[in-house]
Amino acid sequence: MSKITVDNLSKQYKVHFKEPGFKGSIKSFFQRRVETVNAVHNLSFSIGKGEMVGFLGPNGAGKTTTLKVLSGLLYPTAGRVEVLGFTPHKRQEAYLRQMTLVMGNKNQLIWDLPASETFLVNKAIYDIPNTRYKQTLAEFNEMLNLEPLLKKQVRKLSLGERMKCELAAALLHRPQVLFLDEPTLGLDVTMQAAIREFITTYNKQYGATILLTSHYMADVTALTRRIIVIDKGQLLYDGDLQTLVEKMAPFKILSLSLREGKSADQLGAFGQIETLSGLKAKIRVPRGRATAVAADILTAVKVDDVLIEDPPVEDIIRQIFSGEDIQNGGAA
Amino acid sequence: MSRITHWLRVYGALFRASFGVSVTYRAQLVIWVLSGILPLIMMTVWITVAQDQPGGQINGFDQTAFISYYLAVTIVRRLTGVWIIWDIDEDIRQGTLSAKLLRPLHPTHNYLTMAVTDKPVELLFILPPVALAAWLTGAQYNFSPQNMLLFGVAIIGAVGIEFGVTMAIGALAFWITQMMSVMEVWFFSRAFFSGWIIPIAMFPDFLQDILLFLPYRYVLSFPIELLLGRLNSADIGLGFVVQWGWVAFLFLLFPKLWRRGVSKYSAVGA
Amino acid sequence: MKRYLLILFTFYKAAVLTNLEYRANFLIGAVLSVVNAAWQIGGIWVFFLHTETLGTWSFFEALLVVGLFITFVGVTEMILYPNVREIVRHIRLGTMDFILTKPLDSQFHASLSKIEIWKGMDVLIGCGVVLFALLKQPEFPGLSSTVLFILLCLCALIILYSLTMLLITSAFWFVQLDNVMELLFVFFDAGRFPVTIFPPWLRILLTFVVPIAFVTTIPAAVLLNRLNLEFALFAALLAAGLLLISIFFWRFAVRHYASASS
Repeated sequence: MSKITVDNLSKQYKVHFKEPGFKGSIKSFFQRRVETVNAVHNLSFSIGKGEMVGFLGPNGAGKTTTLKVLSGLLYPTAGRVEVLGFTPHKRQEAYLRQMTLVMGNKNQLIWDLPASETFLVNKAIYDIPNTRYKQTLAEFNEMLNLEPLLKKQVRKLSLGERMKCELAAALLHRPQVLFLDEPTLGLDVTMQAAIREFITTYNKQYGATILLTSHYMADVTALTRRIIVIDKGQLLYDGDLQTLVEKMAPFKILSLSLREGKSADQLGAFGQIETLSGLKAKIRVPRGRATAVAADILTAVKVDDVLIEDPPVEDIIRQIFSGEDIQNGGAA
Repeated sequence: MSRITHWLRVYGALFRASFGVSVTYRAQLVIWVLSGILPLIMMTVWITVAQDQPGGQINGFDQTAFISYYLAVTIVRRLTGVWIIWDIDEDIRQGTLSAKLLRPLHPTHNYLTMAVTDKPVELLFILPPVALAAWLTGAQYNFSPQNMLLFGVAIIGAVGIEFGVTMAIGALAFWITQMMSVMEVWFFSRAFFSGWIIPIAMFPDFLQDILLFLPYRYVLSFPIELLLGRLNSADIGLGFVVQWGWVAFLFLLFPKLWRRGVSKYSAVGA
Repeated sequence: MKRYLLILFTFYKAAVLTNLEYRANFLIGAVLSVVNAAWQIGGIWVFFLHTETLGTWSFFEALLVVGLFITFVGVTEMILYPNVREIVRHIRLGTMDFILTKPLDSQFHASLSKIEIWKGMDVLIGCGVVLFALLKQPEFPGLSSTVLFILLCLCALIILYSLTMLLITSAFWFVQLDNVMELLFVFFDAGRFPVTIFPPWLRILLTFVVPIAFVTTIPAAVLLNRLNLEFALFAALLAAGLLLISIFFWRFAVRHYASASS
């Protein structure tokens, strides 16, 4: 039984255009040019209970629009959406009590007060009983180390600290479904890791279903096994991250640390050379033969180390968006 | 000469940009236009009061004079009002000023364009109905070329005072967080003493004498008095001396405040 | 109901704490309140330099209206405008999304969660002016007039709330409504005078179209024993009607927001 079902979802909206310059201003003052944009087009997927899914796509692909439809902020233009058995846009209280929406670029904490005040407001809004509130807060405190942050006004927190509090405020009512839109936006690497760890723990502890978008591929690779890739509002890929990597890149990369300099010709015998500078080299070999070639290299060339790696996920995703066909697995 | 063309180009570009913004928010314009209604309400009250007086006059104002006065208020207030304090406040407090300071053009020029760009459009909206009302009610103005020239200079002086006061009070935001409250005191006192809701001629004599030397009269009432042709040449002379005296004072004052404020602002690194 | 009261209490507690963060506003707010009151009273005093009565109202009777005007503007600035500002900000920054995804009536949340306690000074000064004006009357209002007056004040509050909400809800369409306050003032401004001093067409406008007369003139008239009961009944009906319309309009706007935005 899936917790999130999206069936042929389409969402259109209208935008106003202003032509540049003085004349454009005058013209748009009297008559605005309106254009219809297909933010999402015939999108279908479903997510099961407790699943954590990465939602990928370039800017304007329709990720945020989809998240907003799922959280009940937008009406679908066409198609059917169901979350936890509810129709989100009806915004029934029973539904809203079980979900949460976190937007990395927007802030719901009361700016001039310590975050604990926002927690209390949310406690009242979500009707959280005292004991459960205390227990949840204690758990979050342990996972996120909130204690030192809770006494400072939100405006005095760093971006990362604020995001920790933001997450805590959004999850205080222990929602079963989480929509996270760029939760690590603008954070430094350690803070990203802390947030990631928290999301993973929350997912395990409460069996929550999580749909997450992020620009940082590290988020996606660390958090989710399954990804949904969309572009221009349409589904490009839905499935295992690893499978996608294998499909898009039917090769592996051997990273060599050479003991003595070798020419490109000498190494070219083992596979296609990606880079070669000094004693470092990267060679591309077919996926199935990676170990065999590595063994060959070890016997034939003096090397300190051989690493077998997948090509970076970023490259693969970029390949997809540049229009390569996923079904045929089109790597060069 | 090339400096002049340089500044013309700069202001041309600034004007176009801020005009684009102002026209985008047409709903806002409607609100501005509507907000000129209070003087008209005051007008109806004064007319009622005047009708009960012997001779139908109060301090030399009869019904026609009140109508002429308040119709002129709606136009002149739109021409001379400067409403950029919120932008200054936001720039200083949110730190967007830093970006503006990086440009090889002092933000003053930005603010000046913002202050005056809405005016043509507002006038476009408000002049026809007011002109029609003036014609229907037989409002009387002195439209002689000589007087219109004086009126024009008085309007420029009024904008100068408004802009100078706004910039001077706005600069306070570098030091205190309650700058907007100071501005509100200016707004309140200006609404009362500039002739916006009550013609200065209705005040007791001692107050009229004091107001002769404060800036309030010169942002609104003075140009209107000129337009109504109620002033003799001595009054006009004194008026211009005081008005442009205030302009000169403010334009010496606010750049000083801004220089100090900006250096403090950059030092803190806000 | 009890839950909503509890939530309101939590909102107000947070808002008061926020106000206390900016303690200096108290002093400045007090100065502004005095300036404002002087402005309002001065505006009517100038008329009485030239006349004995304004449309059958003596100075101290008119002062009663001014006092109510100051009080209600103060109440509006204390409990309504902070929310108006918030709503405009929420719509512009997109944080309205957080309100709409909470299991709480969004209008309640958006329109009642903030207060600005320093503006309470206006309310105090306004009440002081009302009391002072009453003391200057030949007789103090009786019990029935007082009860009716309080009921009419409640209606006035609801009318103010509904008118404000009707205006601010349009921010869902016109995102940049920073100056919506000005528009509100246009409506309220006429309320500082007894409506009877206006020409008939304006009087009708201010009573039935933009019913600001019900906020100041009519409660004042009750205290001066100048009013019949039908008007009070009408005030109650009007308040209820406007409140319903404002609620419907808000729901409509939220639906529009959901279907039109990106």
